[in-house]
Amino acid sequence: MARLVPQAETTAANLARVLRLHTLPSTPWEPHQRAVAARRLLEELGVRCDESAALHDLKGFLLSSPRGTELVVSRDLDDEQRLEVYAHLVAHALLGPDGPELALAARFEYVPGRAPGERPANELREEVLADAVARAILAGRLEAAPRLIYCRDLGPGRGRFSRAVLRGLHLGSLALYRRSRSYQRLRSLPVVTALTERVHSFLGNAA
Amino acid sequence: MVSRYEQGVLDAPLTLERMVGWALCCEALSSRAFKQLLALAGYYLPWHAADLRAFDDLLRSYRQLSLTDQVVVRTRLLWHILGIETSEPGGESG
Repeated sequence: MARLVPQAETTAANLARVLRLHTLPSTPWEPHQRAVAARRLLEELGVRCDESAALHDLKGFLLSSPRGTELVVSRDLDDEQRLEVYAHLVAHALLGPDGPELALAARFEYVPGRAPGERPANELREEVLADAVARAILAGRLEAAPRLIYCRDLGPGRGRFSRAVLRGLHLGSLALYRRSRSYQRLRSLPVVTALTERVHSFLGNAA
Repeated sequence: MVSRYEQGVLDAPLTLERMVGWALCCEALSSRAFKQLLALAGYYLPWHAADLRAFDDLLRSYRQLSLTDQVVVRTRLLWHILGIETSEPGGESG
């Protein structure tokens, strides 16, 4: 799996970090402030955001090419919905197809009930995965998703064997995450996230 | 639109952006034909097989959208494909 959009990992990690700050009980932010902060951050990272589009079937869409990356969002959405669309499209940006980076990448975010009846199976699979990753971003806990989604570089490892084991574990986790909603829920539990982080640091750090 | 040009019905110049607008609306046009069409107009798209497949998927999804959405997406596609910023939404399809 390759990323769909250049710098997608950085964008997703920073968006999750900002949203995590805004969920702290000491500084609870209103949806409007969260949506504005998300947009500002995306624009600072070079993603063009347009929230003024008159759309009917779509809540928003993502287009990325050598000319840049942009997120176009319907003007009819409220702050919460706008934030969800941003998170969802950034999640899609992480989930490119296998193969080389595309010259022109696009993803559509449909209004419920207005998506085309017959969508390709791979598109539907990606949608389920993007749902889970978007939830992790919105919760400010990107680490609740399998590491290979948001970080391709698994580190030097303690040696060839531990690197192979680590890669196998991460690939297995990703495969399960793609197929099972139950595993998605399990993987997002803080205790499971902490455990996987610990295993990763044990096997992934150079000796 | 091209046939309307052939019939001499349209006065507006057949610009690259009008051709792209028309090509995106043309129901059966594949990405390969789209690339060839632009090449005929002197515009080379540096797209490989994976890009062409992805663009075919995009065209399929695009054509299933409502006209309102198509206009917005097309305007942005013009920028990403050709670098053309249209001030008038939908004005490029002629």
